Amino acid sequence: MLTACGGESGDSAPTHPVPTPEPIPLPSNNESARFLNTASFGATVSSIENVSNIGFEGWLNEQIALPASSHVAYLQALESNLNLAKDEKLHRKERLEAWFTHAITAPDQLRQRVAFALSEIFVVSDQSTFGDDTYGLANYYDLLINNAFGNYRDLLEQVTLSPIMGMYLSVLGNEKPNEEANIRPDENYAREVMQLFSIGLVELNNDGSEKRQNGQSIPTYNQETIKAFAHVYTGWNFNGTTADTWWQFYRNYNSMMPMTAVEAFHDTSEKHLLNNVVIPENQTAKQDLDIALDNLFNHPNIAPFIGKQLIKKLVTSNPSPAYVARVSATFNNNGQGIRGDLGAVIKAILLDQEAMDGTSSNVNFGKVRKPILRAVHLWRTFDASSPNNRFQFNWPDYAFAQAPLSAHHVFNFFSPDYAPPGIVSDNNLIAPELEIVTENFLTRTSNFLAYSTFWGHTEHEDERDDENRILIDMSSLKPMVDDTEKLLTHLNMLLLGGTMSTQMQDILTEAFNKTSDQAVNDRLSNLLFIIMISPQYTVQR
Amino acid sequence: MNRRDFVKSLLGSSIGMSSAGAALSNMTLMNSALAQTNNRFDDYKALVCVFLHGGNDSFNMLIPSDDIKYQSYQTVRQNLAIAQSDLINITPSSATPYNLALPNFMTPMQQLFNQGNLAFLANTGPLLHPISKSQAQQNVNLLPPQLFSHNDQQKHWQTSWPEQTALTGWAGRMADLIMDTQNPLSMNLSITGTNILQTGVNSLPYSLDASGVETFSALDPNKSWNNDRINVLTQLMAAEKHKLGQAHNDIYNRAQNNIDNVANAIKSVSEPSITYPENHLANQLKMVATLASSQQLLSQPRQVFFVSMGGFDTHDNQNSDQPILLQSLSDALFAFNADLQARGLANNITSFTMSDFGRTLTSNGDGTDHGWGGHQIIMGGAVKGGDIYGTMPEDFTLNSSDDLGDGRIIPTTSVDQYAATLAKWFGLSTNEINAVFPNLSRFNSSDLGFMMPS
Repeated sequence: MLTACGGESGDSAPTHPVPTPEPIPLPSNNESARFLNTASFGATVSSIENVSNIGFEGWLNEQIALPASSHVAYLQALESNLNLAKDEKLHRKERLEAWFTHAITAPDQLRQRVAFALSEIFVVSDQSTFGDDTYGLANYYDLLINNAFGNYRDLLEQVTLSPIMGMYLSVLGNEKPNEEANIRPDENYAREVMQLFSIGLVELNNDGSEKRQNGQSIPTYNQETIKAFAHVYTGWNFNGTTADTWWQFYRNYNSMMPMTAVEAFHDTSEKHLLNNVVIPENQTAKQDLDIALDNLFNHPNIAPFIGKQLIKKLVTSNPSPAYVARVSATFNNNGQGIRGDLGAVIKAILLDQEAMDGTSSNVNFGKVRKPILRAVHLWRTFDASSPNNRFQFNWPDYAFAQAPLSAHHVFNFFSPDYAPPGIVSDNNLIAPELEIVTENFLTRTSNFLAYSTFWGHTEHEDERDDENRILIDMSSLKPMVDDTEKLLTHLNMLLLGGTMSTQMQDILTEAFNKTSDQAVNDRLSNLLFIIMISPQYTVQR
Repeated sequence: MNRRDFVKSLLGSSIGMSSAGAALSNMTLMNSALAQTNNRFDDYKALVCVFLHGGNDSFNMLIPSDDIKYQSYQTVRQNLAIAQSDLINITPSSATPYNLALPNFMTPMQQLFNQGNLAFLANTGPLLHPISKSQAQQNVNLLPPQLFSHNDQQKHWQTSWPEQTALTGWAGRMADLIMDTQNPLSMNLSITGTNILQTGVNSLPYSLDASGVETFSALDPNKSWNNDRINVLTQLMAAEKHKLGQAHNDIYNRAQNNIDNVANAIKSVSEPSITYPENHLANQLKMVATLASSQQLLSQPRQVFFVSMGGFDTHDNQNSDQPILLQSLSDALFAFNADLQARGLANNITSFTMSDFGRTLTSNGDGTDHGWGGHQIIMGGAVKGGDIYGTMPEDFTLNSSDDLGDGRIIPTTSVDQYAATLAKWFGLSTNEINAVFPNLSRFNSSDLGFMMPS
């Protein structure tokens, strides 16, 4: 709806011409697996075959066309199956179950994977007053799922009007100034939407580098800008709220529908936004909001700021400026004059030559896998099941320092620019995910993977009777157990996308052959475990 | 001249000739030359940073209590003001411009204050230079970068050096200078994860959590059946060429090299004789007391601990949320102090709060927004307690000379001065303090006087 106007806006940033796509030859199975380990929650034998048949772009088009799987719908179906008593309801553990189930099994893998990346940018958290609003949080996650390939402008508006975000960052109930009571509008969302969800703190070039003036970075906004936007975001409350019911929080509570404007609480003064855009006085809350969000959306920072974050969340922590610039160009113009087309941006990110080349053209290419995604990868790739057909894992934060929609604050689990001292910062690199890989959490993640490979498989006697247990199935590996080379080639494809070095292959061959006197399941568990805790696997590349 | 003195003399000259940053890296290099002489300290001291994430509204923690001043506080804070009947008075040993009180949900802090075990530092915050209101309004370059932004102001508190290109914290830089590099365990121990404060050029905090240290299962080197597996992993780690993978190896090695030692040290410590309250901060402080009690086993004459508490970003529901937060903080600190006293460690350990910023004196309806200066708590037997340091704001009227706008109070004491005072007590020399706090010389005092002379 607003995309056309965004695309045709007087965008002063230089846009790069969009190159005509060259036909890409069909990928090998290793290439397909490597691609799927980035674009989905983990390659499987059947998805590899599919990508090798239809190519990367064919797969992306297929995925983008798939209908979105809804976490709310999952919870509703679960609730009706469970026949809950009247005073019972679904809790956080069921919301996590919905997330794990979709990550492991949903057909719309790309969409679910992108939604997870978006959930680490547009952060809301159950570590808050609405933490037990299971459906409200799942509904917010569905918002991210539904908009994963839509237009960024729509996503920004829906996030802004989400009652969950409204509660998290205080737009909900934000009222116009009241001088007598010394009350002025809440600045929470006004600040964080700029710092974290759209343009960032300092002016950027399209390649993601900071613009400089006299050697200094240039702030994108100041306190006056924040005040102006804070006045914009006044007058919103739960759907259906009226001026008479404004103060009745519990009566109005509705976390499933977008917020409603209540004009009596909206500030109608003139407001000076970014880049000399002025909102005239006496407008409605929605009219003000449209101008304000257009103002953010048309800011030249938005393409490199959001584009680079998505690259870092999906592909590599240290993209080259040229890679960021190519993705920014697609954000600014999808080739059809439309700005903010996220589907096109995701394709540009995943099909970029830098993503294809990997470490062959840049030795620092890659990123540390999020610990939670290592577990999901194991489960998805090795056909996880559970006796009760549910994927219940209630303590991801304990094992991985991360759980979906559960960061301690709006700054996410880790900073997008974190660089640990030592080899990473000495080389001017960053490794954001390592911020949550402390000594303690590295140990816990390792222990979790040990448990999941040694004990959490379908043939382990102690575990298969536990109906909640998530169990991998190693039976497809068993026929290869006497052919170490074949087995390692297969695991190299599934887990490492063919990036295993000869040296690593030699080390693992010797190690595996040494275990020939042990039970087959133990040998396979041990091999899987070692690969999944190796640094070669830990860094997706 | 012994080696330490030799290094010191070098330091003195390098400070004069080069930037503080270069001096620091010189010192860091020299420190590694000194690594073998690790008996620099013959006593034990620890610092405990209690970080209040989100920006504590400390103008509702230290409150004017005489009628006239309370009235001006009440006028600006309106529905967020703590009721005058809910105030409990404190009597600082030095004169203050007006009488002060705490809210009654912080009674334990009043008790420690009266006993001389606790002090407050008034109106402190990130500063590049001492700054007046007109300077702040006229020259944006005099303001700390990204003033009012959470993570940038947290960084300023923890780095005390916003201009640096690398991201090192002041406790990390202290460790670079004084840590025994022969000890695999870092002087900086975090009970709450990675943080900038404890990150140095060469040193990182060692992280564990309130429940202690996690031990490896399938990679436990104490179980012989894991040997082959650990051996394979070791070979794979050695074969890893990717720098991010090598960084991951470093974390694994730090875990393996320290787990047994730390786990055994924790096991050796008796249960506290007092009862801690049930809250997350109290759990962390209990672990701090445990690690402090085992400092000899850990061969750590100096320790810096990082603990934290979240939820202080009270944009909403401040009247219901903040009392719970401050009460939890107060109860946890009180129990920690009692535990340390019982263990005979109270004089060795100084705890201090830091927080992103103070908050606006004005309201946004049911909460407050990001401000600047705020008050902090300092606790311990070596603190000259029962007093208030720094300068309380003269005036609570909006648009006063203390107010940058909407009741964002301009700090009169800098983070650098606060931290340098702690560093001096901790045992750093003047040259070392100047190297760790490169902006310190811009402020009139490098010792705020709240610590007893060592």
